Amino acid sequence: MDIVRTEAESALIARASDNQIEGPEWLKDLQDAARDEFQSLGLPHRRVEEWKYTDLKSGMRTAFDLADAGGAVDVSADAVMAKLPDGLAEREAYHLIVVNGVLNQGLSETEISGGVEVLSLKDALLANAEWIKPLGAVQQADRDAIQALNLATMQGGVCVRVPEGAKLDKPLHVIFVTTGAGPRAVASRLFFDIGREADVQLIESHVSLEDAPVESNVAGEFIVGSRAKFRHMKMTMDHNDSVHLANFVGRLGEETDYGFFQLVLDGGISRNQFEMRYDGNDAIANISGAALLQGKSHADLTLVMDHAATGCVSRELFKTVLDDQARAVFQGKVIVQPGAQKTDGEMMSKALLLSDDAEFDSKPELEIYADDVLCGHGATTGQIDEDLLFYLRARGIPEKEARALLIQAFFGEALELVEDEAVRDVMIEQAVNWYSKTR
Amino acid sequence: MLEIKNLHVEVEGQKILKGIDLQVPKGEVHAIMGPNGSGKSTLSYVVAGKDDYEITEGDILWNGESILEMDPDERVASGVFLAFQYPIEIPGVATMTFMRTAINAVRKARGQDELAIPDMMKLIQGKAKDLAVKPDMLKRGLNVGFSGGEKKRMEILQMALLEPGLCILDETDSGLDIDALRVVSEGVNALRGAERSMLVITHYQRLLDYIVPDKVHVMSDGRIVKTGDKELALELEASGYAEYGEDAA
Repeated sequence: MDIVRTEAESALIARASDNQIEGPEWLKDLQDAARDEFQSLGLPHRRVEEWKYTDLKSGMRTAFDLADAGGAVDVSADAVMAKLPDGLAEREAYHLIVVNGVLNQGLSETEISGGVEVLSLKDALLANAEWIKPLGAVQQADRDAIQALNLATMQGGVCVRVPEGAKLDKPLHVIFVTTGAGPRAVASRLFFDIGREADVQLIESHVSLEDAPVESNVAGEFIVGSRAKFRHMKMTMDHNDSVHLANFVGRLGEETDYGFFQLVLDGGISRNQFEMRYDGNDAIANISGAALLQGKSHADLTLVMDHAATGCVSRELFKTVLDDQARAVFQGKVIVQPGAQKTDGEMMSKALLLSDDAEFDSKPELEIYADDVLCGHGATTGQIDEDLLFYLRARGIPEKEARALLIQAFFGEALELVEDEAVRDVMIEQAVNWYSKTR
Repeated sequence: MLEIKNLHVEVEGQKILKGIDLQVPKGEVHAIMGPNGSGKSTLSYVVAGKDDYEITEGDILWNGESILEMDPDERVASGVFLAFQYPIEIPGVATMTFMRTAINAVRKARGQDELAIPDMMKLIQGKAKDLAVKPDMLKRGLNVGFSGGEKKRMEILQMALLEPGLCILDETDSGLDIDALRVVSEGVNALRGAERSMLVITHYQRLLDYIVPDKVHVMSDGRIVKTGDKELALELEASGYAEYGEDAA
């Protein structure tokens, strides 16, 4: 049977045939395998179960040209900071600026006290230290096409090793910036090896210097040691014709405390995918977010929480506001492996529809192979409550403002989960601005 | 002055108000009493401008002008205020934020300058203290986790802050114990004045011991069937609503 390739697929396969990065033999083997996998899988489509609601084969018409690798590009830190939302550049942090997929050492603050190592992906692979060797192999199941594509086409990225007990005095802020004439593609990777009892905060932001669409493929691998605390906050400021594909895989050690929060504001097609495995007992993970979508935006959040140890807690809360013909997808799966007793999993996804043409697809799943567990999930879809609206208007608040207040109240419940006050304030302001732009 | 003229209202084809005539002059407090289902709450919602009600005949005039075409928020700006029987909980909207938004929206609509945050805080906290509303309540989500008494005090606080010319109190006494009733009534009485009209809707006479009305109207089956002075409330307390179509409890 002949396989029909779309224009985008052919371009991506061609892109994957050139290695973008030099590395040791084990990496070449990985990349070769990944290239073959992508070639045989092609872009995910609706007959691939996990991608049923996000059909990239039909959604991604063309693949953009890969952006020039960062070293050759002249970018100033000021220009990058100016693209961040108000308040985010002011949040004290170690700024790590990734230009067109590659960590730009000159623009970045990589000298961090406490023995924390921050290397570009290229340097980490050249050094080929023991801690970098799990790279590309942290995920548990077979790679999907997009994970394979990242491995085959990655241009660079950031590798961080946090020694045992190191408590960072301020967050690491990884700013992915894309620049170049016209639409550009980037593929980059984060690899974090966090030692026992360390304490790390990561802010991840995505900006573009020009007002142009970006096709980005970001993979993150996080190995979190026992009793370590890790916070990860993500914001994308992408052009509305962009495609943003992110994959995060994590291994959580004993008594780790992991928290993730993302704010998605339009940005075309986006998919954020999580695969978290609890390897040690009594770990906690809270993965939450808010998405505000209008126009034809499509945002997919897919996560697998794999409880392979006892007494672990997983919490997910997602709030999505949809206007116009926007579409959101929530797929959440909690797996409780045999013997993972005392698992406590709670998953909630709520959508607020502002238009009759908006769509929210929700697929929560529980796979439980242990008998002493507490797991639940819920999903709701609703519209603005007319009684609440009347109450606010009966206090003199005009309809538009009253609606904005109710929308803010809706996503506010999720944003309250962001512990970092400065980042939370930035996110709230962005969300409020989003709403005032729409009407 | 509030003037309701021959008001007929339907909800989903069902006639609820069947020709209400009522006048509440400036400076007067009128009570409307009546059995459950007589249309008292509908009347209050219609004056406040809630959707879902079809006005098939009649008019509502406030200070000589019809308010039927006005949005609920425009009615508030013109001085109409409804204290709800069941104040609504809105998680995620801090009470203080809500009040600031409401006060400034009304000030703007009335052509007054918006208040800066320090002046606003001073104003809200001052009036809150008069109504024994604790500062902690202002930080919480609107009405979330408030007791019945706290919710009603919050309604009266909003009424005081928005400085209406017409106060409609819909079953403000429901769900209140005697102490809460006293605090709420004192709050209402403090707002009585020569420039203000009040319409107090209640099922029970006891509220009228605290908020003494100038006139009492009895409503039954969508009409006002009897009007008298405050003594009429006492008669109703003694005889019940049996003669107005409600079974004795």
